[in-house]
Amino acid sequence: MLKTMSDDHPLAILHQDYVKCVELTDVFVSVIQCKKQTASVAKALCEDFPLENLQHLKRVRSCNSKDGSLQVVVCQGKTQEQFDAVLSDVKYSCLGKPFLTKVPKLKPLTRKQFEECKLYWPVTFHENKRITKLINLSYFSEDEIHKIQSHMKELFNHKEKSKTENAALIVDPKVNTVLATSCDRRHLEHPLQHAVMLCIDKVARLQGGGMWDIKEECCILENKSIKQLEEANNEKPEMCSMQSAEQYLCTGYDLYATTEPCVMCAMALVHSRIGRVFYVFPHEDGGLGSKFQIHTERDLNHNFEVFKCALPEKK
Amino acid sequence: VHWQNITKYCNSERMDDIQQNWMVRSFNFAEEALQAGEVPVGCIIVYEDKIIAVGKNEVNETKNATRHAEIVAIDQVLKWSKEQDINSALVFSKSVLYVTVEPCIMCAGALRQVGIPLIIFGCHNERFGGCGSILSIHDASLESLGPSFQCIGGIMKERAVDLLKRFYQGENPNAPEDKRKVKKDEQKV
Ligand SMILES: [Zn+2]
Ligand SMILES: [Zn+2]
Repeated sequence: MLKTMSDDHPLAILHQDYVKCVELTDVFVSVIQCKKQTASVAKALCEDFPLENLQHLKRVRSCNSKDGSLQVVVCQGKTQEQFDAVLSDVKYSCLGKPFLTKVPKLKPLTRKQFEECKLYWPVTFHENKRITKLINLSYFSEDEIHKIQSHMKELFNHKEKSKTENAALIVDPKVNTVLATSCDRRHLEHPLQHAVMLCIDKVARLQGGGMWDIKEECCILENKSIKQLEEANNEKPEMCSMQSAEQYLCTGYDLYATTEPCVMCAMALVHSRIGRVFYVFPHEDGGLGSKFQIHTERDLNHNFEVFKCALPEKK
Repeated sequence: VHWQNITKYCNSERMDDIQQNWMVRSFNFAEEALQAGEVPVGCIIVYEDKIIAVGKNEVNETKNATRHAEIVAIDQVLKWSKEQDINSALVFSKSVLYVTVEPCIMCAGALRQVGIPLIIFGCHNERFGGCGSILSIHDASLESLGPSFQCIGGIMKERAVDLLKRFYQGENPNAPEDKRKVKKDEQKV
């Protein structure tokens, strides 16, 4: 079969709000028996019964019935007795008896949700282009996809060489350079030395810090990276962020992981201000998509993009 | 077996006194962190009625944002167990952590992995808390991570809040200007 570009496009792990099905709520609706009064009735209702949390609903819709009659949202969250008094006013004389109708509770965030909403009641939709591209798999250019794939390939080569379950790699995408690689060491009597934690610490070491003194054989790539960085530094000093005082933790860096990071590692990446995360295998207890979506947690001070990638092909 | 021990421990009449005493020790390390310009959080790990590990925040010192007090102390328990030639998993399973602030989501995950059954903390952590404030990692169903743990919060919380206030009023001198304030308009996915 012919492969298209979108087959290789990483899949964004979005906030639940973008993925979930449309939720419904009840509102009272009336038929407008005299079409001429539609505008004035709708205006009056907007004043008497503003639709506080349902601003995305269009007030009036035309019915599918042959006579093309119109319906208007009267109000939400009130009992019949509460609005009967108001509706007895002469300006509402053209309204039929109100009845309950299910309408979308939240504004649509994606085109898919928009289409689903419309099945219940007409709504307004302001498309977020970035989200649309992420969903349509048209967010990355071909060149970007190629770079992501080549880093992923490097990561899996590293994993195979080190013969461990998980491996991680941190890249500075501005210079397309690998800064650190690591593999899982929790089997070596240190339960916290997950690949991601080790990788974060290696970046800290490159910045003159670090917490774990590990002399491991499995980071051959690292010396190469430092060399690359030094070269980049000589050629274009402004491009080498590593040595500059501007660099703060992992800001703007990408992390590649073979398996979805656990809750601890996911939060470690929040603390480290990582830019983006790419992984291949989801994990049922994972913190970036499966059990939790820590990268989209709105109460936290840092959010980042997470993508699920295809397993790199072996040559 | 250790769960029974904990129940015994929690039901002891001297519990308040004991907790208070150990917590006072944790505050020494939180104060040290503040002196060093770090987020003022301190902790101790108690095993068989003695302190086998202590920790304070060392994020700025190590340029590693994961160097929280709890991680420092866990490292020390691993080292101590090796020196004593005792199985570290056994030591963790019979230990109590006293920490001045509710463990964050990361540390709660770390604590489950080493299998500490009981955490006593001071104030809640409204920014990053992993034991109820933001997420409840301590008792979420996360079997692959390790056993869930029990938490007792609120011990000497006023003192913990006071320390944090003193820190945040001074601001973290090592964070770049634009990172110090929480940006509300950050792109959310
Ligand atoms: Zn992990
Ligand atoms: Zn923490």
